[in-house]
Formats: sequence, C-alpha cells, structure tokens
Amino acid sequence: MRRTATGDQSAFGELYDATSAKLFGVALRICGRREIAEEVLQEAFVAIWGRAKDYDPVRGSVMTWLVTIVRHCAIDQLRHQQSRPEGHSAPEELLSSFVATSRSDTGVEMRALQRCLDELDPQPRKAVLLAYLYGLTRDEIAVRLKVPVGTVKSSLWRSLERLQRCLGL
Amino acid sequence: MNYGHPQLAPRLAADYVLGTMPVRTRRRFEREVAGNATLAAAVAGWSERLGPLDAVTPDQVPPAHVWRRIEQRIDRVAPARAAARMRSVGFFRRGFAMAAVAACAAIAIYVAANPGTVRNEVAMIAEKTGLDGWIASTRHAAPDIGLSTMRLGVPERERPRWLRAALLLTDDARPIAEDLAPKR
Repeated sequence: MRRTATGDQSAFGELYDATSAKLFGVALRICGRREIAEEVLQEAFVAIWGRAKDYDPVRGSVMTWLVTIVRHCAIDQLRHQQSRPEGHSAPEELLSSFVATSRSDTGVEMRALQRCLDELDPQPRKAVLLAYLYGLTRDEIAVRLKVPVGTVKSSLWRSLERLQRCLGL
Repeated sequence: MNYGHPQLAPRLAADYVLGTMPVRTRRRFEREVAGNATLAAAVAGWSERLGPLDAVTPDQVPPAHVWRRIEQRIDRVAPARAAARMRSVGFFRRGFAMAAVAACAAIAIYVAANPGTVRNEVAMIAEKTGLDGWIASTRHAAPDIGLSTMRLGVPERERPRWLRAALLLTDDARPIAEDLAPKR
C-alpha cells in the first residue's frame, strides 16, 4: 500500500492480485450480479489508486480500508441504479452458509460477533444484517420487513448500541 | 452537526460502517473523519468488529478484463506520473544493468525504421534466454530512437503496461539510455 501511494503501478498490481478475490466476493454479495460487481470492483480500485496516500495504518488494516471502499462503491452503484438484484436469500441463511465454509482463522472474531448478533431480537438482527451484508437502505429494509422506516431507524440504533456493549467497543 | 459529541461519534461511525448513511452525509462524514481522531478511531473500531462478516464472505476471482480496464483508467489519469517514474534514477539504473545483459544479447525481432516514410516502428531486442529484453521504438519526425526496457519475464498481465509505458516514453521524443540506442 505504501508503494501504491507513491504511484508504483507494479505494487498496485500486486495489491490487486492479493485482494481482488476477497473484494470481488464482497461486491458480488452486495450487488448480486457479476456484471455490476465487476463495475464496482473497477470503480473501487480506481478510487483506491487515487486515494492510496490517504490510507493510515494507525486507523485499521489495509483490508478493512479496502473493504470499506468496495462496500460504499457497491452501495452507491445500487442506489444510483435504483434497482435491487432479485433473489437475495435471507441474510441469516447467507451468514450461516458463509460461516460453515469459512476458514478457521476467521473463527474467533466471527464467533464473538455471531454471539452478539444472536443476542439481538430477530427483526433488529435481520435489519443489521440486511444493511451490512446487502447494503440495503433504511427505506429498503422497512419494505423488506414490512415496518415503518422510523421503526427501522430506531431499531438499528438500539441494535448497534447493544452490539457496541456486547463487542466491548 | 456536532461531531465531537461523545455519544454521537460511535453512532455515526456505526451508521457509516453499516452503510446506512445517505451518500451526501457520508461524504461530509468522511471529510470530518480525516481530521478527527475520535471519529476515526470509532470507525476503525466498528470496521474491525463487523469485519468478520466480510472475512467469511467467500472469495470470487474477478475476470481478467476487470484489471485491464482498471489499468487503462489509471493510465489515463496518471500518464505524467508514469513518465516521471520511468525516467527516475531507479529506472535508469535498471536500464544500464540491462545494458550488460544486452552485450551478449541477440536481436530476436527488429523492425527498422524506414527513414523515407512517416510512421512509428517498434523493435524488440531480446536476450537469448528470452527472459530479458528491450523494446525500442521510433517516432516519426524524431531523429533518435527511444529505448526503453521491458523485462520479458514479467507476468503476461503486466506486459501491456510495460509496453504502453515504453511507447509513452517515446511520445515526448526523450529517449533514455541514448548511447545504447542504434543510430539511424
């Protein structure tokens, strides 16, 4: 990342090689369609190239920073298109399938997060997962859960506060 | 908005990381985070805690054309940057190191410039092993042959970038390692 920030295209290529599969997986999870996810990945890496000098290792890992950029690119793309992919599975099912096939080195953090998510009531938990895993807006979550937007907003806040306490933030 | 409020920072950070923040608010928030250590720490905290949701997301290898498009776009936005890098001291050092290699090199392909016509020509001068080599290119109306190095052993994916970089270098008719270039 340091070399990429100096304009080293070769280093940027190495960064792409090392991270694009994970980031494309994240983009695909949110966008649901490969062609949109490809566009998102492209936009995200152009942004990463332009903003690499802004990365500060004190403020988190490289991967976390990259994932944040990809997630926001994907969310922006979907909001811009004002369309949602069909056939998103229930977020809890998606998460369960991910956890079942995940590598063991992600286990400790994931188990901690899973435990805290399990402490939430079903509907607020679903709202949090719909937002994070699929990038749904509050309005979209409200439609999906068939509740008023205000309810989504307040339940998200409460859920996040409970997660904050549970995760020791 | 009072970003310094102790209870507001973690809420905004969570909203940002969760992805539910409206776009305009998010851009404002990102500008604020850049100069606000408390907000930045809150964002980092939420990102790391919710990060496992991404870590367990299965990898998906993107198709090769995605990288090619990225390359094309960053080449367009940063040609000056690339040219500066190619002319850097490090690049010259590599160029002269390759001159030693070239002493025992054979010309694999050489398309000489035809002085009577107006066109660009490219020559590839390769070492016998095929691992190292140069690309030389001429530019019409330029009296010199620009010479740039391309390591043939680099992965296939990187070659077009080197090739473009080599041609980019000659676009301003400023050859490097001029003493090594064949004279017309």
